[in-house]
Amino acid sequence: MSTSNPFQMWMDALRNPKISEIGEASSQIMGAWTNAWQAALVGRAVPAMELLNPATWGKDGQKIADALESVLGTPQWSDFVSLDRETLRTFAPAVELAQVGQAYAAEVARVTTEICTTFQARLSAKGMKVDDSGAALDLWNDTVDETLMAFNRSETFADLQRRFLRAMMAYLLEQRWLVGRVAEHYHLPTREEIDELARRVHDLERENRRLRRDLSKAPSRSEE
Amino acid sequence: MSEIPDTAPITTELTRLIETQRRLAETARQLAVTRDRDVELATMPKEEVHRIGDKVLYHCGEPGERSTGKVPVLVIYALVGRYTVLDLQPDRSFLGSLMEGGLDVYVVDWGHPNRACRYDDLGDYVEGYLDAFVDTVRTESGQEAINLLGICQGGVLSLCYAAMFPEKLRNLILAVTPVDFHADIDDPHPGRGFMNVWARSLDAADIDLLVDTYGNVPGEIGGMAFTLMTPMRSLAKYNLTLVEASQDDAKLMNFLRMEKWLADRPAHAGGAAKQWLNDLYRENRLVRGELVLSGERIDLGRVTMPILNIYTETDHIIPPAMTKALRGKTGTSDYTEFVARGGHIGVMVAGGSSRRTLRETVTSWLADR
Repeated sequence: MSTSNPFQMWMDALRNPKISEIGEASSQIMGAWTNAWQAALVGRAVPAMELLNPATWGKDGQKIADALESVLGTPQWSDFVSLDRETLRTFAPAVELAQVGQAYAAEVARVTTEICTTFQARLSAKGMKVDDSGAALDLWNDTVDETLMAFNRSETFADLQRRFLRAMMAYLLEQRWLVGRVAEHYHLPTREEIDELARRVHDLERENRRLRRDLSKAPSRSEE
Repeated sequence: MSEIPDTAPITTELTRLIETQRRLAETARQLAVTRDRDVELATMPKEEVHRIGDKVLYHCGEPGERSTGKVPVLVIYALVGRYTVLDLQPDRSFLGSLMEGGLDVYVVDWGHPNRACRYDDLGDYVEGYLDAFVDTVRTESGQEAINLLGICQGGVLSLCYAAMFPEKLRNLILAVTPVDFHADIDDPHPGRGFMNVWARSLDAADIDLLVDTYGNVPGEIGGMAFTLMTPMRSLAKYNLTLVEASQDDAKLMNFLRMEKWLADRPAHAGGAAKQWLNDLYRENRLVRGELVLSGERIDLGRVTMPILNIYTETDHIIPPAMTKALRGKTGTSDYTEFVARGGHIGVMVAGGSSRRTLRETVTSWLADR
């Protein structure tokens, strides 16, 4: 039965047996999207929140790199250029580099305090007045020099230097890998290809030198 | 009535302030009118006689001018610094000083290794480039054997060359040359031998990683190590030292020439850098007779020609113990040591009586042989 009353039409539709199926479908769709948002929240937003805590910045670098990857990383696609994902490879060494920088800054702060303390003690011991500026400057310079030289030769500095070197090299290698991908995309030679050519030429030069030396030692035909 | 304040301290402080400002203003004035082209290095006339890539053999003197009948001296400087320091300025030119002493002088410019040079190792430098240059000097001079003068790392190359090709050398002169790379361990000094401590603090794998990543070790890394070696000198260089130098034209030009030389830091070719840092600085293979170049073990017993070993007691880069260790390690029966004045670089750029004494030592030692 047809009616022109909109309210009646609405009520008729609700009585339709299909309506419960539509409701169920809507509920499932909503549930699926809720799961997706929850997963994004747990998988992306929570790690992002962790990254906002400065207390974590100086700790485990790999953990921070993992968190960054959780926030920004994507799976690998066979038919998409995914430079964003490739860029993520540089996170771990970049984070380690930043952490070494922090550790070095902390040591520099400690050494600076040591310089000031030592300078004050030496100034007092010598009974010098502050307006004796020339002599005070010499004493300051000597104190800075001695303290920094000792620090630069310390095991603490050596440890930081090793960490810095390893992180820096890892970072550079990751960057090179990334640039290599771009170079390949535009049919430009990569560093690896140039190195390979240089190695082959170098080996040929060595071989050439060896052969010329052997030749100069060999008896001439007239001597044979 | 209140006391009249003592104005003396105020006057003293004002005088200091005026003097400081005057000196700073003079520095600014000097820098405002000085350009890079005004700072000249290596101006002594010289002629290119052999080139291999960017590695060049020069004959010192006017082009076409050759001494006849003299045994020439081939001067070899380090790979990690330019030879231009040997001709810093006319009155502080080591090469010029040798020429004033009547010697026929050749010098090698190792150039700036690029990526194509990354596989060049010390063997390539000694058995390849240096041997080719020695042969050219022998041919040009008509001498079967020539005199080789190696400085710092160039001294190590020269010493290895002398062990590989003793028949081509008449005399060997070494200056501030490291031989025992661990000699500093028994003679520790906070202001000396930082490079030794620095290199030994790294693992062999770290050095390999550094070289494999960069290809060649950039000159800036060497510069950084030197900065760490003398921290206060580095910190004060562009304030106290520059201001002081700027008050005198000649001193300022000295300072700027040295700056220009320091800024011109060649990279260390990868293969050579690995051997230099791992085989020599870390493992001390030269003095142990375990260094292998181009497949040949370097036997210092084969160095039988006369040796003059020059060092300074105030060398903070190559502590004297590293150099003096050569005594008794070679096969020569004619070994002389000379203690020069100055530091590691200073010995080569000295002027005045130090320059004269060094020249007379070298020329008279050679004249006797």
